[in-house]
Amino acid sequence: MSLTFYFAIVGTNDSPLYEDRHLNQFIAHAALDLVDDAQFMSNSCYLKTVDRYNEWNVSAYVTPTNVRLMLLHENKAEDSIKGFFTDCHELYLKTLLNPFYEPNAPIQAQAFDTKVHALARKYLL
Amino acid sequence: MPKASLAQKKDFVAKALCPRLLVCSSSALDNLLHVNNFDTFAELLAPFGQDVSAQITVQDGQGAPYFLDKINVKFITDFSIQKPHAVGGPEVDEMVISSVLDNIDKQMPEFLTETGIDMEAVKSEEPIGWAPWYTLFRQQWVNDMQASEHESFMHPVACLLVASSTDTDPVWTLKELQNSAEVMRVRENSFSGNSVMFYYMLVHDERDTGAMATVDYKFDLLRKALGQNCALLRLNSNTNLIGDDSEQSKVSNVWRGNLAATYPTSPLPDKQYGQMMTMRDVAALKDCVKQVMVRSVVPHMQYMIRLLSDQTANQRRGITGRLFSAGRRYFGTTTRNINTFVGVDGDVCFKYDSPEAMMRKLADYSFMLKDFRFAQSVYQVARRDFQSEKAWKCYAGAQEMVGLCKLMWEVQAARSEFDTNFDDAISMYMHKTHQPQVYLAMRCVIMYYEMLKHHKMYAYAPQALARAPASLPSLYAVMNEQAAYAFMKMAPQPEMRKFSFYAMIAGQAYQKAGMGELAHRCFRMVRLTLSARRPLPRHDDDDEEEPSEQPAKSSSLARSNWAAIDAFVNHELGRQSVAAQSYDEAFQYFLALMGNDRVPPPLQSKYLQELLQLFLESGDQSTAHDNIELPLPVIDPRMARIIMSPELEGEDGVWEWRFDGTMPQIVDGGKRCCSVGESVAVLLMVSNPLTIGVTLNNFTLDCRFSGDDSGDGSTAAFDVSTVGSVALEGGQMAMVTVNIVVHRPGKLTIEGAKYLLCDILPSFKSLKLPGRRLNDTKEQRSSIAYAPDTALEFTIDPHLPCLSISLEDLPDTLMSGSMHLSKVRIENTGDQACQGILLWQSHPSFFDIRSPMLDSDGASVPDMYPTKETSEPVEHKTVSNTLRDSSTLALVGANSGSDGYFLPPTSLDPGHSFTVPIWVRGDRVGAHTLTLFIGASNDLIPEPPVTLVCNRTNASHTLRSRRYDLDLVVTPSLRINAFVRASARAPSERLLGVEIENLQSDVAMHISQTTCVSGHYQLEPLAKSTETAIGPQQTLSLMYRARPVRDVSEHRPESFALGALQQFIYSAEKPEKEPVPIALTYSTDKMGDTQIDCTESPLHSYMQRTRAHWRRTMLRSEFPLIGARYLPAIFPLYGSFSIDFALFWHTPDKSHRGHHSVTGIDLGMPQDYLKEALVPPAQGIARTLLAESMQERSALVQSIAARPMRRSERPLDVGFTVGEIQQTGDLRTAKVQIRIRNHSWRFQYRLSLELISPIDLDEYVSADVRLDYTGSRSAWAWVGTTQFDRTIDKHGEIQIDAEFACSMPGAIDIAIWQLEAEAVDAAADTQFASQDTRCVVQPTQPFFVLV
Repeated sequence: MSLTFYFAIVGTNDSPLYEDRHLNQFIAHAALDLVDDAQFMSNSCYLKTVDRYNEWNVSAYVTPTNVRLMLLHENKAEDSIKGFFTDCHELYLKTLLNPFYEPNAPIQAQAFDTKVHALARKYLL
Repeated sequence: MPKASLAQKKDFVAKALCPRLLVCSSSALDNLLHVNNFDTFAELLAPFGQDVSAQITVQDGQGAPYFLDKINVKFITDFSIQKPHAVGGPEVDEMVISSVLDNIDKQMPEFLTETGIDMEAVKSEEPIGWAPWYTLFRQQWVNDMQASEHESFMHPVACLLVASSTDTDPVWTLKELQNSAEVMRVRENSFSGNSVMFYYMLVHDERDTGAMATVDYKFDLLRKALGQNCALLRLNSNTNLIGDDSEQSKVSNVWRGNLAATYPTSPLPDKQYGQMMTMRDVAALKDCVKQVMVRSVVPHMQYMIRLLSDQTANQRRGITGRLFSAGRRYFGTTTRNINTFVGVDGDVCFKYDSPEAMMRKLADYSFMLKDFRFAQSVYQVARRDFQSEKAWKCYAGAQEMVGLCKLMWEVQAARSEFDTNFDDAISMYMHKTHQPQVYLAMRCVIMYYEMLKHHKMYAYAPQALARAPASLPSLYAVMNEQAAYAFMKMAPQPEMRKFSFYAMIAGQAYQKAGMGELAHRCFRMVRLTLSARRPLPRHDDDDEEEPSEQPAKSSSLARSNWAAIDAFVNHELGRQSVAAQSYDEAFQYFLALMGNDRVPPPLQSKYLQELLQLFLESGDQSTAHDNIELPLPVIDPRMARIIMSPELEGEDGVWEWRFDGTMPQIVDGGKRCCSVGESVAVLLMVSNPLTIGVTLNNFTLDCRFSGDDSGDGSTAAFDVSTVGSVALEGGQMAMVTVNIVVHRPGKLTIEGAKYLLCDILPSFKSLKLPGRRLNDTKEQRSSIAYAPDTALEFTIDPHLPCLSISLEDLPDTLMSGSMHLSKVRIENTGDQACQGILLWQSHPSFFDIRSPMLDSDGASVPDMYPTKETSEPVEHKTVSNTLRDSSTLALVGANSGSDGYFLPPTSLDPGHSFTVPIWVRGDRVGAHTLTLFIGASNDLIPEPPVTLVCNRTNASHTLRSRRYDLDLVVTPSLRINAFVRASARAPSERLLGVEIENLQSDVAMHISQTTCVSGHYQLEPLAKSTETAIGPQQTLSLMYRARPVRDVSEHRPESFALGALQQFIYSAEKPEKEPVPIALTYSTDKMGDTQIDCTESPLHSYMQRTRAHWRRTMLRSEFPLIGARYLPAIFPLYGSFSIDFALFWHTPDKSHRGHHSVTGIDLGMPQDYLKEALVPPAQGIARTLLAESMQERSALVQSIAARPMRRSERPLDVGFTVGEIQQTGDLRTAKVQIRIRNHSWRFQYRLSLELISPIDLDEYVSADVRLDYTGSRSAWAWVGTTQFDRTIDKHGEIQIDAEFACSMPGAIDIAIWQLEAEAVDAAADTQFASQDTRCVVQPTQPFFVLV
């Protein structure tokens, strides 16, 4: 099983707020077009796999404020990815509560990074 | 033009898959062809095969008629089945490249501009125009198609044999041609089965007048011999009949146009086609081709369809056919070998007479005749059979055709699941065949894509194009580019991010294929799309304003947060530009790469290396070298500081001095000035945004000087120093200091920083900032305008004083109370005499500044404590009672601020210097930051520190000043607690107790003297203390009795304050008078040998300043609504009842000396006399016209009235004096003199004093009565009158005589009484003094009498 992932949170103005790894940004960026379509087809935040490119699957999760959580992954494990997204969404909400964090600004907090990695270990690896 | 003629995609497929005719001509025609510049007869016929308007009704496979409007036909000269091109081989690559690299306009697609994406253009335009080379490539590919054994498309349906009228025997010639090699190959091919239809044509050259007569005869012969499939073509090639040039070119254009359309990439040959022909000949040719098609070819195909339809009916119809075929497969072992053979490329194919091949041929013919529905059903059946026979190439071909039929058929409902057909077909071509049939797969992709475009089903296109084989980069690139455009055409809105993704892939592939120009174009498209604002269809109304806020940054340094994408695209573009030798552009891209810290470090250093390399390579070829502005390093202009006279301590600047005790304010937000020839330092914070280290070399500043140009041109107006090398690690921030010396008066502006990046790349960094936002006029408010920034400029003013100031011997730590001698040395380094130097101190109690001593005088600093030999316990001295501002002092120039001890020089000449001794005293325990300002002017400063500034409002001076912030830690030495008690003996006397604790852990402290300063009291120690040393951690207690020196005078400071405050509140004229001088009493308790003289300066004035500072601070916090400048006119320096207590000490070795002082111990009755001032006076109230001033006044009154009370007030005090005790028998009696004093400033009281005997005590016990009465209750009693009613004036004292009797000896406490008082006239001001108008006073301490 391959253990490569790429995780990004994309703000409403299409610029990434947080990235886990500089890898395959192109694929995640291109998949945003499909997220735009897919979000109107589904009632839930979790859109499952929206795009595929070669061996990569792109899963997406759209928050009510149209912030998009994108995950590039090779294997398919929808349940754990959904769990990962939900927890990351919560983390993002907590970041938003920070009065010093401006919405749609890049997230540079070290703690956020650590927690996302912990979640990745918990759900994905 | 190719665009116009090939616009119809459906036509494209129809033309590609049209019937073909093999043309064989006799050699006798060569002459005719050569004259007209044709090589073959097929070439002559080629233009007329396009869109032959057949206009006939044909029957479909079921016999139903339908109308065939147009048909295409292609004329070929040779036919053979060869191995197809291996895609990936050089020919194909060459073909792709040739189609692309031809001189085609490689502009950006029109919808992409520098400013963004034109959505209208995206919607309206066809993607063909966005990449014209694709059209060429497509055509090229179709031209290159070859016949294959699995389909009959490229096989000729008939042969056209042409003879000339000059042939002696045309019949024989034609027979010869029938047996020629080309025709034989057609006969033998897999689909003909030796039966080929021939059509014969006799061509007559009209020039050959000799043969004219025989033509008809020969044609008759032909028809007799060969039947009806004959035609006679007369070509009117007589030069005499040719018209003008225009006609000739028209004729020629018929062929040229066709060539341009069919072979768009190859250059047109420079030949005059058909130069012996006229338009009549052209019409004849056209008519002839139509005859061939309508009369023979189409009927022949119809016939074949009918025939094959009958022959394969069993196969096609239902279960029977299937059973039959199954039986044959399973039971007939040999039939299979008969029906199939292995083709040239190793795949299984079917022989012409097998049912499968017949079905295929039937379907192909139906397809050519545009009977797509029937063709599809036949293909579907054939597909099944191919599949069961595992003939994968045939199967894939059938699948492809099923899909094409679905799309060609105009009925919408038929287009179901076409994508699977194509998907299947392509994967079969690629993976199941003996060798991958890449060429056919590619053809399939192209056809499919064309059909999708025709139906505008762009959603399928990227998927379809992605199936193109990736082995050949050029091919892959073309296909991916098309996929990108397909995303642009997506409904309902373009998918731009997908577009950029595929454009990026295409760009990469182009690059791999060595097509840099196109790769560059693709990457530019990516960049433009990324930087273009994404259209937000939902917020149309908001969008209109936004573009103005986003300036067109996108052109040069567009950067989003997608760091990797940006870096990649910019890097690729940069490399392409380098390859294309356009260095300026390359620089632009590489510069955009710099400063991107989110790229991994190896890439960062790679980019940096490449940029430096680029610079070295480009040499002189680039024009952009002068002003390369790198995003690296980051220099924040806001963090840049200009430091005047950097070699000295302190902050240099121009400050405004106000002389009201407040700290000098910096002028104009820090306008900087310096004198000519001074060195100025510029501090820049330079930080490296990358994670790799870089060095900056030859770092210097770019400055602009404006001003006096009178100096000769030989010397520069200013010199800027250069910092050799600044090494910055990743993420590091460094401070760079650059010195500037200006030699002429004027103004210097710092424009930017210049440096060599890594010692190679000369760079410039602008330090310009917009100034503050302008908001003065309407235009400025509606637009966004900024003032020019002045933070990075300074003025060179030759009139500014130029002083070298140094602070020497400053202490870091002091024991509290001890003093330390420091010095300020001031030297005039300028060339003008300095006539005024001022000093401001934030903590006057910490500094004792002595007269400046000119260095030439050589005088020594006087000791801090002046002593005198004589010992005088009490001294009197009358001093000014004005509350002076003690913070400002003139070191040079006029000075009114002292008693004549402070003698500043009147000017400081150039080159001279003096020293100001400053005693620093640790006044309060703790860490302090003490601020000193020293300001100087070359002009005389007129009488600066005035006392009463009320009438000189806003007196201020702007001086070049230097600010010093000194940190001082004061450690504790002694702790002094003072407490005050009323004396029971006399109501006007007080007892002062002082408790001194030595906080040192190892050093004993010696008290040498205590001194009390008061305007009203004289203090004498209750007991002469003999022990003056306090051991470590020990406590010493001293008690003093405070006795009024004189009675309350008329000029009491409190009266002054009351009057002034009342005037301040209610009168229009603000108070201006100074308080009258006060006579102070110095009570000294000397414990050492010599007496420290507190009445003499400098100690005296130091103590006065300390008090002034303390009082000002206190008053400002207590009366925040009274302006600081009115304080001296309202509040005097000393009050009547407050005393200042000073305690002088030294360590045993006298190494440390110092004094502590407790300022403002209030010995008076605690009462708030200032409330008196709130009562409006009977007359003289200023009328206020404005509600505002009324409000101000009432706010002031309220604030004064609402001040917190310090203690409960007690306007009356009672004291006892006991007379001599007389004994008569057992009874002892004594007269008691009771004195009652009224401390009130406001009220006359009616009072009632009741003396209480102990027996009656119980009646009076209440909560706040003293209950610790221990004496025998029956021991004594008051005798005589015990109730007295009196009236007492303000500050009055009355005396009451009483007597007590005592039955036994002992100590009795006679302080048992109760005093009820009521203010006379109290109704006048009930507003502010309800508390005092009626009160009950009871004893607070006992008064023992020994009987």
